[in-house]
Parts: sequence; structure tokens; C-alpha cells
Amino acid sequence: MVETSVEVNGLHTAYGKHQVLDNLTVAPLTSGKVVGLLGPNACGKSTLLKTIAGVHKPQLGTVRVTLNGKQIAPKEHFRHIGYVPQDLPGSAALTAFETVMVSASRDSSSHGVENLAAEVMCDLKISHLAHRYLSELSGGQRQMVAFAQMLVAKPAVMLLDEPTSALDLNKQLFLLAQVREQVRATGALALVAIHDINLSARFCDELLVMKEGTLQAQGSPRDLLTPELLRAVFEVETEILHHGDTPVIATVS
Amino acid sequence: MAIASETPSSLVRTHRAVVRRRWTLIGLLIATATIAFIVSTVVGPIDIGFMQVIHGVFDPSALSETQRTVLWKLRLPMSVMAVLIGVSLSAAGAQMQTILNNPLAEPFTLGISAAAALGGASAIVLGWSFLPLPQLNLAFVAWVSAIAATSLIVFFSVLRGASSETMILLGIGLVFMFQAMLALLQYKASTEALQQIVFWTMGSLTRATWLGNIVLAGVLLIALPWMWVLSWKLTALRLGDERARAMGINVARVRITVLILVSVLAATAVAFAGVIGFIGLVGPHIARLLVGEDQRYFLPASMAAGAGILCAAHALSLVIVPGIAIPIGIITALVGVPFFFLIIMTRKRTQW
Repeated sequence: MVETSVEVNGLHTAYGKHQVLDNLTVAPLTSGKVVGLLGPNACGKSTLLKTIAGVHKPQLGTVRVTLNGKQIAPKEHFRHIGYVPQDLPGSAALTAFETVMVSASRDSSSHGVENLAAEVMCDLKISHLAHRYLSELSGGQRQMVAFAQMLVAKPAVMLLDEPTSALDLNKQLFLLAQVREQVRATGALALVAIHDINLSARFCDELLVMKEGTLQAQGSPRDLLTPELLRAVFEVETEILHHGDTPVIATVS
Repeated sequence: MAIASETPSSLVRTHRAVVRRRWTLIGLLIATATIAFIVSTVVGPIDIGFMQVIHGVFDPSALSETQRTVLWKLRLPMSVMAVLIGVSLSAAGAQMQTILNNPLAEPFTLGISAAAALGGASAIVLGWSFLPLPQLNLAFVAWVSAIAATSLIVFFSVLRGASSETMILLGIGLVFMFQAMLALLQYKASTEALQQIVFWTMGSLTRATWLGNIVLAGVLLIALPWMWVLSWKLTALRLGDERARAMGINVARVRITVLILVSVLAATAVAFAGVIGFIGLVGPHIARLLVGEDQRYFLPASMAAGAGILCAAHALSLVIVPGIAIPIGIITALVGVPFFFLIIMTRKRTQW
């Protein structure tokens, strides 16, 4: 089991005059949790994920990642952070198997990588796609391949940008269950940007709610998801129902 | 959907079968290129038989003096240059398509050939002379011009961030500017100089020398291992800049390094043989259709495909009109395009 944490402090990012992240600070995210990232379009969710992943450099502020008590140097973040961007790996003439192997092949011998890639693909039930080119797959299938590609590197921190956007209902539940299982089994931490509030309520241990580049609220789904918050953030009227312990959000006119 | 009966070990087995098939296809491409090379060395107005050529390569004294001169001073320099330039342009085209993320890219997309033509024309019209041998001088000026054009793109890319769009736009702008400057030179040039410019820029292997071949081989010996070292990063780049960056790859550095390698390959090819179009486009496309874009297979397959096509085109250029070697740049497009159409129309997969 790994012990990992991510701390985000005072992030500022602007594209031209448009402030994307505005002094964004998040209370430490810790091991073994699935953290949901909610918020309207263009509120800075993707930019936050990219900043943590090291793909994007903020103008101000810091991201601190620790692993087993030790802080990871920003240059080494990529070794421990897995990032699945919003866009899918598109037109490449790479087979799904080759795609999955790419993210694992840097540090390991090719033999070990092959076995690892095969195991992950079988676990995710996409072994039948293994030898087809990405360009021959549907959006949802490519999304599963992108997820497999991240998992195969066994990251301590998983960053997923709308990982279920192209998936059918069955696969949405399956993928998020896999994320949760992985997090519970390895002690990893997952931060998942997601639009489906009900899915986030069901699968996330903690939620971050963003609006206009700032953090509006952070806490458990049960405490956080109230009609007031959803009105303030999304300008939508809702009613909170319950299914067992899980809140279920119904929109009302 | 319940086809999940495959086990990890059976998946690894089928993957290895795919890899074996790829290497078999690469082997077939190399065999085809070898045959095309031999044919292009055997055909020609002076009759030297197949066995005599083989014999003469290993033991020059077995041939008559005329045959020896024809083989060693004319045919072999040309056919060896066909191989080297085919490999250079096709490898350069493959990597240009990779770093620009664009299937239409080829080694000359960013203005290498336009710059070389402008340089060559300037040397002819303005009488620039840096080296004693006129042909070598032209090659040198063209090479320097092409590298200068690339340096410009590299400079601006570093300033603006090396995105593929920025590079393509800069390159296209440069092509138009160089073409306009070339047109201006041609407009002012004498008829004699004009003719020289046209012949020089038309891709042809007839200027082939052993010195040129040694330089081409030297450049390949530096560029290819370098590309091979970068192969993992280039494969990752095909999955998008962000994904590659998240894997710890310095995307801008990879792009610029590869752009420089591609430019040196293409500039050297242009300097010695003029503008031979199409190879750098079709070679990688054949490779992609046969083995996909994992660089471990894509690069060698592109090289073999390029060498094979250029050797075949060279052989064809020698036999179409007996006694006259038609400039090979004309043949590659004339014969290559219908062949290219055939590939596009018959392919099953939806790539690009």
C-alpha cells in the first residue's frame, strides 16, 4: 500500500485576460480516496488536473505531492501521477495493446510490460479490442483504452478528466467501480472530473466543487450536495432524494 | 460483448504474433527494395548481364574496361544514391508526419526544398562560389540555404512554443516567400542560367558521385540511430501532446530535435539530387498501412519502402526512353500517384 497526498496552494492561471484558476487552494487530498471534481463548464476543472499532472504550469501557486511521507520533486511527478486527458487518443495507427504498452514501456523490460498490459486489458474486459487500431475503435472503446493506458503505469495519483463522457451506463459504473477498487487496493488517490452528479455521489468519498476558478466547497457527497449549493453553482433547481446512504439528485423545473 | 474469454497469456501470444507479422512485412519490404536495387543496377543502354554485375561488384577486374567504368562510375553511384535518398526522404517524411501530426506532411512541407532551390538558383544566377567544384559548390549553397530556412522555423517555434500548427503555418509562409524570391531570380536570369536552374531543381540522380553517397550515408548514420533512440517518445506523441507531456516527455524538445534531424536529411538529399517529391509522402503511408505507427516498426518499414520505390523509379527512368535517363523526380510522381490512389482506394482501415 502506498501513502500519498496532494496539496494545492494558491493556484493562479490566466489565459490572456481570462482568469481560469483564481487563488485556488484545496485542503490536502489523501490516500485511498476517490475525489470527485464538480463544476460548470470552463470553471477550471481541466486546468486544475493539468496543473497537478505537470502538463500545465501555473503562473502562481504550488502543487505538493507526497509519496510515503516524502515530497516528490515536480520534475518526478510524472512517474507517480497518471493522467487521462479529456480528448481521446485519436487517429493513430497504434493497436490498443500498443497504446496501453506505451505508458509502461519506459522503465521496464518489454517482456514485463507485455504481461502487465495484457492483465490490465483483461481486467477491464477490453481484451477483444487489443489488436485493433485506435482509429477503428468507437469513442467509448478508446476511452476504456485510455483508462487502461493510465492504469498500467500503476500511478499513486490518478487524474481522470471526464473519464465516462463517452461510455454507456454499464461502462460508466464499471469504470468508476474499477477506479474505486484500485484506490482501495493500492492506497492510491483518484481525482475525477465528472459532470454526472449522481455518479459522483455514488462513487466518490469526497467532492470538490468549483466555480469560476475558485473552490466553492469541499467535503463528503452527503454533506455537500444540497439544493442550495447546486443552485449557487449550476443555477439549477434540484431535490435531494436518498437511495440507502447515497444522495440522488433529481432536477425539478 | 462477452468475448472476454481471452486470458492475459493468450493475449500476449496473439500480440507477439502481430509483432512477428510486422517484422515479416518489413523483411518483405527490404527484399523488394533489394531486388529493385539490383534491377536498377543491371538495366541501362550498355549491356552488362545480371551475373556480370554481381561479379563486377566483388571483383571489378572481371569486367572489360568500358563495363567497369559504366558500372563503377555511372550505375552504382546512381543506384546506391537511389537507396540512400529513398531511405533519407522516407524516414524524414515519416517523422515529419509524426511531429506535425499531419498525414499530408512530407520532408519538404516546411520549405526545405524551396529554400534549397532558391539557394541553388542564387548560386547559379549571382555566381556565388565557395567551393572549387561547381557541382559541389551548388550542393553546398543549397544545403546551407535549406538549413538556414529550418533554423528560422526552429527559432520561431522556440519563441512561440513548438506546436505542430505553429510549425506548419510558419513553414507554409516560408515556402511562399522562397518561391516568390526564386521567381524573381528566374525573371531576372539569362536564358542559359534559367535552363540551368530548371535542370538543377528537377530531381535527378545523374549527378550522383561516390562523394555524395558518402556524405548521405554519413548523415543517415547520425540521424537514424538518433531517431531510434527517440522512438518511444515519438510513439507516445501520436497519442497527443498532453498525454505525452504527462508521461514526462518534453514535447517541444522532441519536436525540435526531430525537425532538425529531418531537415538535415532532406537538405542533404536535395543538395545532391534536387527535389524528388512524393517519396517522403508515400513511403511512410505504405509503412503505416502495413505495420502501423509504433515507431519500432514504422521507421524501418518507411525506410525500406522509400528505398524500394526510389530504386524502382530509378530503374524505370532508365528504360522508358532507351539511352536517356529521365529525371527521376518526374517518374516518382507520374508512376507513384496512380499507385498511391490505388492504396487509398483499396485500404480497409480508417486511418487519419
